[in-house]
Amino acid sequence: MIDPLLAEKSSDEELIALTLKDQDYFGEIIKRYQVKLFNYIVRISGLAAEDAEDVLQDIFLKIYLNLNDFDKSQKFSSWAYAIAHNQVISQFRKRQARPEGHAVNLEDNAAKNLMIDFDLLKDLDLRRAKELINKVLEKMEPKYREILVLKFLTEQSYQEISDIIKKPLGTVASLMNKAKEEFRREVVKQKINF
Amino acid sequence: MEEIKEEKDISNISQEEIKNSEIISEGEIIEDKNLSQEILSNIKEHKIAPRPRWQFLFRNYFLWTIGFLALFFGAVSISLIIFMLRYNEWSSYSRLGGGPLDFLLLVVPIFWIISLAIFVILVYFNFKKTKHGYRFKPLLIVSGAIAISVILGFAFFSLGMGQRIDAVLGRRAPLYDSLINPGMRFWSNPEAGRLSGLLVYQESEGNFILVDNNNIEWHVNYIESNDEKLAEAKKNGMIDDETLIIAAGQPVRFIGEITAEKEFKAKEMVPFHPGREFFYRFEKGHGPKPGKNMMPNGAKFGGTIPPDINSVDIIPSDLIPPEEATSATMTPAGRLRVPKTSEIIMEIKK
Repeated sequence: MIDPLLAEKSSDEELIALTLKDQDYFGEIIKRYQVKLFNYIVRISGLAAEDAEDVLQDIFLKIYLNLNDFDKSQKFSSWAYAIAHNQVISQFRKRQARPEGHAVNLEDNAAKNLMIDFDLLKDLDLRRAKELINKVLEKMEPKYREILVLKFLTEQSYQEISDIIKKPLGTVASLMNKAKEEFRREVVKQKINF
Repeated sequence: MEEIKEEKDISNISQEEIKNSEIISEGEIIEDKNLSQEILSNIKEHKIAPRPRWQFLFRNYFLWTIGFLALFFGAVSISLIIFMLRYNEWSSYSRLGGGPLDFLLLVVPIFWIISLAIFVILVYFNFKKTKHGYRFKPLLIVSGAIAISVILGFAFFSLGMGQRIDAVLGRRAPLYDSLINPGMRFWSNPEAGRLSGLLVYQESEGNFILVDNNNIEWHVNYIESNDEKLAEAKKNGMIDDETLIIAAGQPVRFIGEITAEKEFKAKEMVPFHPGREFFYRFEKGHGPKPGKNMMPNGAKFGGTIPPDINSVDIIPSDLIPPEEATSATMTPAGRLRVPKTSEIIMEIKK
């Protein structure tokens, strides 16, 4: 039996050490990440909820199987997102399809971050802004959409994004610039007035 | 569901967006779902355990080992590139005709450049697959691998590794003269004034017998003192102690012309470095077996060489111990024959 208080208080990294001794502690890791990873999967892949849940289960199994490969020099969340990123890509490779983004229920913070960064009208109704942002994200190229999702929706740093998509920092920065350009282009293309 | 109702109030929202909103509303159910219990039951039921640490360590060490080996062989390629470029007879190639493409194919060690490229690519992919390999830009990895290969390659070259490897390959590697060192074929064209082969005997002052890579025996006339280019090469340090000048058992290459059937008048002897040991592959015990199609031109070894030449073992004269060098006897045809038990045949006394 696990100690629920200990599980709750432990950091992700400590939970890994505990899980390696008692697998029941893995339940706490799942609880912490199931929503975050689920949203991430849906945002970058556009899978329906049931399919996304299957992928999520595979991701957690992969995390569990590879616990001994976790490198303490990086954050657990980056490592988990990296596994999710690879799993989604391999899922689409299997289906020989391209990931299509789906409109998602953006968190207020994420929408505000995006609005500030893209210099969108601040007096625009937040709900309306979220819809428009979704509409634009949906039309973007997957690699650009993913980088914006990681930056603004999951609020990862550049280093964390680099660890997730396995690209050098410089490439992440350049991808981010291109993603922002494409976002702006898409706004114009869709004649969206922010 | 409340969220969908709210969205329907927005006048210009599309049906597609409504559908998407439904998906996300479904998705939010994940929060309430006891996914952890489900996954843990699955893990327990199938007795799934984390993969042991040694497997990841093994993979990591394996990648690094392959990477270092590729780097090492890249450096070996560089040492051979330096060796080939250093001793390539640039001036001879350009003097002896052929178009610019032929010239490039002859002087540029394409085989070793391609092999370097392959090893650098191998280093790149291995490094990329290591734990933190993704943090480095491809250009940085490739240029780093090339830079390390060049530094190590120069060190290997100065230790004589390039020359030693070329010697081993020259003696044994299949397709050496067509793939690794195409210059060998360039120098085996007596009709065009280029003759190379193994000196097997000195008949008299300035007259030698040479066997080329087609097993053809040539009578070569060459007076060293008339060769200004050789004097210049000696002066420039292009001829060292290991490049013996005129001695039996030594590979040589000449520039000159055919004067009669199987007779060649050489005006110039060209220093022979890369590929000079190619002709030793026809030694007994090291070369092809009689009847086997192993000659570069497809000829069968042992078919055309006269018995008195074929029956001897030819080795570099610098390996002949002085006390044995005199144990050779002359054949009726005037050639030097060595007792079969001996490993050495002859040394020409000047």
